[in-house]
Amino acid sequence: MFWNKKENLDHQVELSGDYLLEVRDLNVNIQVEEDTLHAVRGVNFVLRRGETLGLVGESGCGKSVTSKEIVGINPGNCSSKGEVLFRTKTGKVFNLLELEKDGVTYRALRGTEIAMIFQEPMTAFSPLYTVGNQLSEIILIHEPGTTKQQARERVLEMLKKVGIANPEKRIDQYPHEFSGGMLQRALIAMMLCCDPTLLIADEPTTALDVTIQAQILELMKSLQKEFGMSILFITHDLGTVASMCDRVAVMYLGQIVETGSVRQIFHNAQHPYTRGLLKSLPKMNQNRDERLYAIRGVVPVPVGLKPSCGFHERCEECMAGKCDSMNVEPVEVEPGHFVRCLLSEEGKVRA
Amino acid sequence: MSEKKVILQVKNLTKIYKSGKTEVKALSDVSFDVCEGETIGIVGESGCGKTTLGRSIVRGIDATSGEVLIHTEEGVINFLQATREQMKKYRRDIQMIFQDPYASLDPRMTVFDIISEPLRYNSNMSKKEIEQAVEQIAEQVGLNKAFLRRYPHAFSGGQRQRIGIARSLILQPKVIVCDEAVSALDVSIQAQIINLLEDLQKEFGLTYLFISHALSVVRHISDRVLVMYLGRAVELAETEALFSTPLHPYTQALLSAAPHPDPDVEINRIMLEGEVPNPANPPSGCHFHPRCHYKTEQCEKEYPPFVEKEPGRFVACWNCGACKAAQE
Repeated sequence: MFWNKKENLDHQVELSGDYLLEVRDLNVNIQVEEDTLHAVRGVNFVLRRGETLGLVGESGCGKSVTSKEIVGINPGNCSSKGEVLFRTKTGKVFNLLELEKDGVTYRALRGTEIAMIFQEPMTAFSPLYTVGNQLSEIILIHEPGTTKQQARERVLEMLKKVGIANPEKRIDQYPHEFSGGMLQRALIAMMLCCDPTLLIADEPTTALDVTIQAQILELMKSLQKEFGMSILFITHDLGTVASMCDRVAVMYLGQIVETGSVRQIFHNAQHPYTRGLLKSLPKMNQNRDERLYAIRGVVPVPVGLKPSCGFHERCEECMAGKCDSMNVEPVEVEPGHFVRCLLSEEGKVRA
Repeated sequence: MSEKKVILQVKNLTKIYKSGKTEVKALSDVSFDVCEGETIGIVGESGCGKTTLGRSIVRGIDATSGEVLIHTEEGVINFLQATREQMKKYRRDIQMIFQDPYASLDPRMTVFDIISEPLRYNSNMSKKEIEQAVEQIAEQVGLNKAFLRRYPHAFSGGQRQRIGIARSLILQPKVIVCDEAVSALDVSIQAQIINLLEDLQKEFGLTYLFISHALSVVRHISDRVLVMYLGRAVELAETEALFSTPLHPYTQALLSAAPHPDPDVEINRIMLEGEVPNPANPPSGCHFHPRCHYKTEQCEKEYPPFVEKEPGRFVACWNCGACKAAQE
């Protein structure tokens, strides 16, 4: 393996049980001119083998920054603190934040262990090379010794797996000859070429049409069963979360405000923000004359935040003197269901 | 519907794009009436022509043939062939909210300039009045007044879209073509904007053409819904009727594909095979037949006419009887 060659990594860390990934107290600050944006503020979560965790939140909540920090592709004006522990296929545990971003180890992990699917399949491919060329590149880089012919055969096999018709013809086409849905399939095929254990999907179906979205989600589910990978599913679309994920973490203003199983979140949401989000969605079985519930106000800019609940300005149940003046720690209201709200008490579920 | 006043009529609107020898019929023969104060949802997948339809109506692009008739105090005017003077007078009546908040704002203008630009050209308001109007509309769409002197790059996609909405609302138009106006917004903001659009509609009697692919949003906001596929209108019906018993097989599949925000709702998905065909080379007969579960021989040969199958329900399908029976 790559990492035995050069970098000497003596910082060994522990990762318990069947966890594949554990993010501990992750903080990411982004320097924008004179301001420091606190994009991610103390995020903790774990991802078990074979499970799908949905990271849900609105734009600016820090979900993409968190996911990019795991892959180590945040731009240079970001500084991070905390731990991102990841277990490789060989059982080694790395703290990804300590790895050099361009180092041999990290580069070997990307693609073979951690893969990422992006929102816009159109911009994820280079327009200058054929799709087959770009897919086999990943195999040729990560598995030296593979011949081009072998790589091509594996790419063909992967393209077939993700449901691309006529792969022998498609492999030599350029990205502009693919439709959005087909390109997203090709991107998924690229990510699966080296059999990763962690797949980070950042809004993978947001740019696609509903009938194609349904196809891609089905495809991801069936591939997950086949390859047994864990998926970190990042989205703002609660509808896809409900059909895709085992567990859900809801983010707001750089913090996870609620975590639980998909049923706990959708049927028994505790945090006022989660409740508000679910209420503000127009539903297919709702009376159309009913006015939509809207969370008041806007997401504050995460600059110079005072100790407080991040949601207090928009919360209908805000308690003056408490929510706006102290930081809130998560409590476990039922097994596996954590809420970061002063109204929630240990072991008590609100109706 | 019949007692309502028709404000806009779209007749046989067709748009053909030519590139070399290939012709792409982005829009073929779309006709429908719009009544004053109603919201017509226009749904379909990318490439179905819904944006082309919206843009042709506001004359953002020139349609190849067809008519867009606006009913004004001076009588009916074909907007597509209006004179310069008529355009100057009536353009402000039809405004548009665009899909891509990154492409629709000039990066070199401040937000204040962007929102106030229509007022500066189309009204006699004083600087002070313009300032007040901009601040008011900014507040209504959820923009922080303190940020009005900033440039668009300082805003997130969601906030940019609100700038675009503010710009189109400031002239108080009669008809607004909302092209995916809330698609880029976050859920909590989306609800605010939908409510805002509804409030403004009540207050000023606005008419919306609400183009979107988000079916639950369209269902909520629209009085009637037009479904498009590959440049053609395939179904037009009142919202309740369309969502409870779709008569076109494509509508049926589209509705079943919508994700449901509840993990326990089992949806009986009709998985469509394949993708939308290339519009430069559409299938013979009914464009939907290669993906359709109800296709017959006739579908491969003849395009079905867009006719009123039930009162107020227009469908372009040979077999909507079979489609309806399958749902019962």
